[in-house]
Amino acid sequence: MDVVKAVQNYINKMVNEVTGMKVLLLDADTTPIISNVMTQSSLLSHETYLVDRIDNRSRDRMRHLKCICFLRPTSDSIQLLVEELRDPCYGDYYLYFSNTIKKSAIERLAEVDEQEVVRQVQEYFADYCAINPDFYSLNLSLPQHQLYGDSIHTWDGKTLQRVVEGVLAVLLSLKKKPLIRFEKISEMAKKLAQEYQIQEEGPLFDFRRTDTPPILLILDRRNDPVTPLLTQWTYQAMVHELLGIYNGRVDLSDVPEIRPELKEIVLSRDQDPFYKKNMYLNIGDLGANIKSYVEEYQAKTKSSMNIESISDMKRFVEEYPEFRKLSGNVSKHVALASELSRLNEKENLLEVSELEQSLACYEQHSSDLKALQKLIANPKISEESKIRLVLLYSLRYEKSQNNVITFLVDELHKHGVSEHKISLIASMIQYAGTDKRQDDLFSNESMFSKGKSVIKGLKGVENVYTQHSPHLAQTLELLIKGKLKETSYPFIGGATKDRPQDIVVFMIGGTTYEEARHVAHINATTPGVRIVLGGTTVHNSDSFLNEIQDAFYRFPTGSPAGARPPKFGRNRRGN
Amino acid sequence: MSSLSDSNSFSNLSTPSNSFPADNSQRESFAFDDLSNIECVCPICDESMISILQLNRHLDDVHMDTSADQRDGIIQWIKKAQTTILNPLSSKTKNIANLPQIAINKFNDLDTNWLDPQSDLVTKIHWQMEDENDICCSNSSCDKFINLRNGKHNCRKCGKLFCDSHCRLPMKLNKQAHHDPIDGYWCRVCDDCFQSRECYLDTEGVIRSHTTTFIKNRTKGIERAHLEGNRLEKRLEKLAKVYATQAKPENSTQSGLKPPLSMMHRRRASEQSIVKWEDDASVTNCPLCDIQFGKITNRRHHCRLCGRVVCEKCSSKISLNLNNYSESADQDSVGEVRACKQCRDAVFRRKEYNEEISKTPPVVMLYQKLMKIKTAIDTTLPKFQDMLIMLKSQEIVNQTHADYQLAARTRKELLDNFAQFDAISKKINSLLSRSKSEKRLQANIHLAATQYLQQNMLPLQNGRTRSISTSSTKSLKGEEKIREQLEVLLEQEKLVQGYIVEATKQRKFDDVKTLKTSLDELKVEINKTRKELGDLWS
Repeated sequence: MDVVKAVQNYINKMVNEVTGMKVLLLDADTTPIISNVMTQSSLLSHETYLVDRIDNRSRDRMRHLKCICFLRPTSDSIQLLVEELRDPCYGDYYLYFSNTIKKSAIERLAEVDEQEVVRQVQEYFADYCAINPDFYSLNLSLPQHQLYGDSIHTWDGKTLQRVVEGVLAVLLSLKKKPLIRFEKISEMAKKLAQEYQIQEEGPLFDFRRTDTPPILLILDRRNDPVTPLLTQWTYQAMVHELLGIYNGRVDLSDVPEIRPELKEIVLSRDQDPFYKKNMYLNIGDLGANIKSYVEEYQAKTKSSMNIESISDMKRFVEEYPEFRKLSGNVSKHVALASELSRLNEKENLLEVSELEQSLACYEQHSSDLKALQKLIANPKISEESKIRLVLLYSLRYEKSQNNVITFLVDELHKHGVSEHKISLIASMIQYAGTDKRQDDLFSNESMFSKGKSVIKGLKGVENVYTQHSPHLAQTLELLIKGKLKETSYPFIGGATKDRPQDIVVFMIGGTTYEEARHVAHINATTPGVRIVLGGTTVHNSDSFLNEIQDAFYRFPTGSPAGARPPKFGRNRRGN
Repeated sequence: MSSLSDSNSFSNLSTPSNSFPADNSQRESFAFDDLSNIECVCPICDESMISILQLNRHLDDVHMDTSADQRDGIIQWIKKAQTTILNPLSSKTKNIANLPQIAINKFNDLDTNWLDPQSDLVTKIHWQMEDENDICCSNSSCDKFINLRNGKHNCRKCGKLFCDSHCRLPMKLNKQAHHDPIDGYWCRVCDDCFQSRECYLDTEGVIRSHTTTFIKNRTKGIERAHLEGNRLEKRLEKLAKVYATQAKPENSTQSGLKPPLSMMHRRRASEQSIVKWEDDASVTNCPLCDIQFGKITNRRHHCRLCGRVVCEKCSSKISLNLNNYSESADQDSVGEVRACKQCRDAVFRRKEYNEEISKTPPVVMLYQKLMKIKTAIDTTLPKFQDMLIMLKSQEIVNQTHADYQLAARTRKELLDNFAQFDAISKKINSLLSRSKSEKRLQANIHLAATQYLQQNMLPLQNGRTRSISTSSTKSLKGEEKIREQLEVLLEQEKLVQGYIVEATKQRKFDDVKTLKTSLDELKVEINKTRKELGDLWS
């Protein structure tokens, strides 16, 4: 149950099967799939000397090359491939599709292959982006993919089809035929569960029986809208929240005085042992580790400085490539961490985060309200932070009789927060208000859960900024123990009372790196249980709110008419 | 940075309540604090619990139906706890360092209600017996003794003895203690047995091949296309014959001038006898590009091969040869005829494709050589490494020893191969390229070759210095040796110079400085060696 290995395995198989000089031809969907798990040098070592896009029509003819096509079988890609085969640029073609290909498409391709250049046609189900060994994403984000159809509770048809295919590919690549459980209150989860069940049939899913069937758990983001709204303090999550990680790359071109080679950096677990070691650590520990990393580098520089004998020199020359790699890596992480701390200071994130955590975890209306008013009035706090705080407040106190949401909205107006941002508060309640959630997210709906929430606080919270634990962690804990209620998470097509050992989670509406970290933790501390988490995309607060804003903009009701609102997000340009 | 690095000043907020002494001294790997060791006592019945989670559950299960006054008691207790707990939390702390991690409760080890009651039926014949001596847990990473405190369990599958924490995974076994996912009973097994189930650690995903379907479909189409191609080729031959017989006498007398009108008519008639021409009036738009025909601007043309009416853009003149399969098309051309794009492709594309395939560009030849050398290296290199290990283990330092000489020969062979490999890859890189992609291809082959050398050749040189040259430091100062050393030094000089250029490009001046010192020292050493060599000569 390692999605990175599963995808790497597929790709290695592709490039190993064919010997000789090769070109790898990709499309818009498969490029990020490959770039997330492979490096150029690993492709080179398998004689794959060129990588190109099939939609690049100005490729030169090189008949002496063999061509490996790895494409998503969309109508666009098939059309491009038809044109390619009609007038082939390369000598031999090995076709690999990332999902099931229609019979009619095979016939069309066969018809145009008059040169008889195609050697193989295969389906390799690497149809998702593997981010961590236990974390994947379908990368379905705006503006290319809309999640919602004609209301915030229904699917966009095309996206649903893509999601079903994506989940199918995840399970095929892991060789699992699961029992499906879904979040009962969510229409979208139910729809996906049904669609998936229909398509799962067939000989493809004929696997060896396991002791207990694997579980596919389909969740909906709306059951926990809180997690993506919080400021993150662990490395991977914080980088994504403040800067954004897209296909393993971070864009630092907006950072003041950045060196040209650091404008875009790559964060890869496989290539960068320092990152692998620290990705789940909080920024405090990270700071200490970076410091010792720099010291290690300095020590190495020094030792290479005093070269006394020829053998020292030889050693130095031999170590130099390794050494150079280290020096590049040191400057990368130093630049990244200092940018994080700069943004942190600029936006007063410590103060904001403390209130966020308090709103997310504790029922203390009067003191939190006071703090909230103070932050709204503070001109140093960004509009985005203010909105996120009021969102958290309204989600928690939505049903409380003495809530002052309207007053806070007025306050936001008074301090010049723009209208389209404020409208998010109403949208959020429509999207994920108490009536739309099935579990007691804030533990404030019954007397006993209130008691529990206080007891939760007794566990000895030492860190004000990472008190919050996502709802997913609790759901998974119950599932692992066989205590997840069937009334709220029903099975579809079969049931079991056994405790699950292998679990694949799919979250409609996107996951977060905070949740990924919790899943990694459960995997590391619970022997015998393997969990893989994924969703339509990986959200940070900006992308999450953008998706909701965009959805409501498209609906005829519920959003202020007028021009499309500007994208929600931090304005990072300049100081 | 400075705000991040001072890490230990964060005050340790322990819970003040007496009934919940926090014990966070145990740290688990993976940098998560293990918070499962907090002892808890139920406020109602004073029963002690292992974890907060268990306390939660206990409150739910046992005290769910407690009477109202008792419940008030809980609320009182909760309120009291709340005030004590929240005070330290609201205290402002500006330092975010030394933050502990989330507290997901560790899943209770003692919780074994998943075990099947029938699991006793599984055979115990193979169990490892305790004897008098202390036995360690059979897990290789565990050094606990098997006793009452650490626990004592036989893995139901392999029968070995384990401590509590290494034998707690659920797996279905049948009565013969074999894995049986369908009719087995849930039993307690060790980590190894759990993971060695078939397919458990499998990382290979499903693959489905459509190659046979594809080829079946293609063969059908190909036959049709071949027939069509052949038919067009025949027509082309016939046209060539017509042109050859009719044009020859005219060409000999009046070259350069247009053939007379009568001649044109005659030829047209014979062209139309080969394929029937489409009626001009029946076609208003070009069938290929759909542009409308006009009287003057976009005139109609007939394709001589299929007879269709097409526009000028979608047709071109193709030359006619008496022998269709001759290589040099231009030499014995007997004339030109107009053909539409589709017919042209059908007749010529296959021919062109085959021609292109049969030509091997220089890069392919060189690449084949390169790969041949690589295979040679890949087979000799492990052999050589075995030899080195063998020499070392037997402490053979005598240069006349047969094994030693064999190793030296192999090394020489390897180094020669590496040198050749390097030379060819450089040659590939410097080849003239016809296109941008070709340039990129050549550069990338060179890059891959360099990577390969870095991985395989440098350790080899290192190995040499350790095992082979140590034996012969001063005793044998043969010319050969010095020459070789010089060679190595020169090679390193080149390498370092390359690094300097690269580092300067990347503006890593610290590195440049270090590199420059080593380069200077290398130069000194080279001069010394050269001199030594000169001394030897003189």
